[in-house]
Amino acid sequence: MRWHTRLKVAPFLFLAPYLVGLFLFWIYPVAYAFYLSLFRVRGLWETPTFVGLKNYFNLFSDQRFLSALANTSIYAAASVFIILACALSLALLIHHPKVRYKHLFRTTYFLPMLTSGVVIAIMFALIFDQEYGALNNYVMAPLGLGNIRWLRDPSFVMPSIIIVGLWKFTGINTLYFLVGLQNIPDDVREAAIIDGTSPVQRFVYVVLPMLKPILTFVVVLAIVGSFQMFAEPYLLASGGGPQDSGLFMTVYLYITAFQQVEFGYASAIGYTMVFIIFGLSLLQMKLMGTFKEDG
Amino acid sequence: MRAWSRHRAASTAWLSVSYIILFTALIVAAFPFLWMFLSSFKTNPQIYRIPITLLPPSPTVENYTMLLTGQHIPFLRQFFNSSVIAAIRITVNLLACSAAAYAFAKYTFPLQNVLFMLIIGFLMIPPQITVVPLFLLMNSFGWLDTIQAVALPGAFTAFGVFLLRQVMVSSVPLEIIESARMDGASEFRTFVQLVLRLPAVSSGMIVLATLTFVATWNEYFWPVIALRSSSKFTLPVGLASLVGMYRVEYGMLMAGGFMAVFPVMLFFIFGRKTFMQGFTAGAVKG
Repeated sequence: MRWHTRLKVAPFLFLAPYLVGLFLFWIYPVAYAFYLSLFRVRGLWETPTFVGLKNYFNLFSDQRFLSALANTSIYAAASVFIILACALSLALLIHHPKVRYKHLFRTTYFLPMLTSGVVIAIMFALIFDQEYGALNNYVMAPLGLGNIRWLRDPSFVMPSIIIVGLWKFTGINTLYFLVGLQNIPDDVREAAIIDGTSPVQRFVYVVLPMLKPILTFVVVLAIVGSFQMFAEPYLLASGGGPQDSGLFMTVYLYITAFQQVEFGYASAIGYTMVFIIFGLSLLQMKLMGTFKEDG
Repeated sequence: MRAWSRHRAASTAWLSVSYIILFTALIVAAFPFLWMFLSSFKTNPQIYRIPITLLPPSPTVENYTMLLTGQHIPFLRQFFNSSVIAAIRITVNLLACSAAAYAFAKYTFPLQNVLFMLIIGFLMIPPQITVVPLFLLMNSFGWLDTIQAVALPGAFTAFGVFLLRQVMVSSVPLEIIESARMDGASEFRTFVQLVLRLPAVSSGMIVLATLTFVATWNEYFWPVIALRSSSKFTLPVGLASLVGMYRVEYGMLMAGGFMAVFPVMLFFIFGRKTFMQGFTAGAVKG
């Protein structure tokens, strides 16, 4: 084969297997989901009826969907404000030059992230058990706090799931923040110290601005992750929990698609999630000024 | 002098507080694993007892034998299914992504950048929206309730192409590819026998394999949709089916949970660096 032809053809041959897979298992399903969302499709054998945007309009008056949206949003807000705040605090503590055992902390904090959501749900089902659980017996009782029905009391289902999220995701975000902190040049920090700034001033005016790229990354990840939570809320709240108090978006999509067999409506839920995630990510990047910085 | 010692006392106090916080977080992170491990050696009456105990009063392996002999779920079979699915997905993902990454890194072709941006754009789309069409697709293939229905859809990751392209751009010099061509090697042979064997590329592949393994081994959402019969279940689906099936058999669940996390932890102990590098790969800007 001539060189010229060879160099022209080769990249497409290298790309072909990946593109076939990508098309079959990603592009086609993503496109077909949108098509389905415009139809009423009940089950595998019923002929789909075109309903336009009706599935999307119906969402606004669907009480279960609104609960799922509210719960997922509460969890997303908790991820950003509680989980990320804890992660940043731990990262700052570990990063301090005088603190030892850095490897031990980083490694142990990372472990929950390696664990299957199903196993996490199993572990925490016993931890949250009202009578025989570790949380009520070892933490709440010594503090003199009452016997909480964590997963049975509608007002404690969301706090329980947030505790699980805190346990699972704080460590990985601590590692992300540590990567960001290590990227801050030492001389910048030293210059700030020589200028006589207080630690708080240094954090607000030096560290935070330099963490901006990583902060954007982890916030987007936390929001996307909230909308993808499935195993933990599904198993811990057994479906939606009492009065749907623990119903998450992905769980509702699953119930709609595979228990109620409403494929069209489930696809509309899916696309609504995509719009929300895109909207929130764009808004967040705009607020953090990512576009200005890169563009 | 006095100011200096006051400063020193303050910083010692500060350091102690830091350690208290860091070690408390450490205990919180580790406790559920310890609790699961210890509870897996308790019988159900020992778990349902007040006051609860941390250590099993009389350790028993009953929960493990119940699972391994398949009295409630075909546990070993499900362990095997999970392993096969992970092996298929890692192989397909490494082959497809490395080849695609090579095309992006070392060739120029029309619409190259557009195509790459498109692939990266797919990273943003949450996979949940694909499950209904995938379910219908697998149904039309007659693949529902099969191993390949679970293994294949997650095997073409955008992240894999992104990661390996990065590695190849920065650490595969064009000169060595060209000298291989001069020596008469085909493009395919150059890729397989030269590029993939470069240390930087193979360690990138190991990072990708590790991430794919953890993601596949732990996955629940798609397998629970694609699988029906307990002999086809993966470990997470099998364990989750135990949650709903019986009066909560915590002892057995804890034993199953421990055996499910064990392989991941084992890999983690031997490849700690690879894991940490892989999981933070997305956070490094550039």
